[in-house]
Amino acid sequence: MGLNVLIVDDSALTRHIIEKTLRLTKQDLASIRHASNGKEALHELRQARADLVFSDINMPVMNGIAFLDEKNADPALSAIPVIVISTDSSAGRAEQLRERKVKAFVSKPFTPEQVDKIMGNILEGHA
Amino acid sequence: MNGATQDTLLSTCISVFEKHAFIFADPVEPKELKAPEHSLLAWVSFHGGARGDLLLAIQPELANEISANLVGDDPVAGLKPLLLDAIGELANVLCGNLLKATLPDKIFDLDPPVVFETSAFHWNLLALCPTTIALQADEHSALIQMRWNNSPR
Repeated sequence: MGLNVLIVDDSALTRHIIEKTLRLTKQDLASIRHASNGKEALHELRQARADLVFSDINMPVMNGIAFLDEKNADPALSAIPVIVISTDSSAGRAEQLRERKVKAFVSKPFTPEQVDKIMGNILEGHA
Repeated sequence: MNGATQDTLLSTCISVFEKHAFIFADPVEPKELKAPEHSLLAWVSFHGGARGDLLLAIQPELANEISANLVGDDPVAGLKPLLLDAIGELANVLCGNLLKATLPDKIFDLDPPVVFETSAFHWNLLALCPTTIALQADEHSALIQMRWNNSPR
């Protein structure tokens, strides 16, 4: 059974690039949905199943940190793994993300190989 | 901003153009550039560890090339909304990487980029600032400037 993925970023172009990157990986993908901010992402997650979320941090309406807080507080959503893709890779931010049980962090600019490797690690339970 | 920091900014900008936008750009002297009649200006404000803005001014030809590089063979590459998105995202990635290079231990929040068309007047204003970085690829140019509202500590 393929993966259902949700991509969360306020840039439509970045969502397009992430989707293209995902389709270049070896992963079996059932569906790829998009959301432009944390609030839309929560709505999408409550509408239909997602096995994995890729999320940016800096977004209008609801940013990535607030999205993670609300997702983790919802028992129906808390177990969904999240990979953060963002330009912010400071040690302080990394600690914030660890506290919020983010599975992995990918710094922009990223390569398809990085995404493939991280997805593989998470899906095999190594992350 | 001292010389060492300016060198760090320059090498970071070149790296981002290469790794994010797939553009091999060379540094040039901003004042030596002829201001294009029209250009795109992207503005990203940041706050948290320090406050300030990143400004990116880019010639339309270079902007189109970057958009095409990012979107690939998709024919929507030339559409205006995607072009503005591409330049806004480039500014976003530049800002994040420059902040990381300058203040790696601080956390920053970045506002969504604002992108608009501008004129030679604004290009010249940016080119005259001593801390502005200029990059050129295939005779088309971009100007990048980090502005700090408070000096980075």
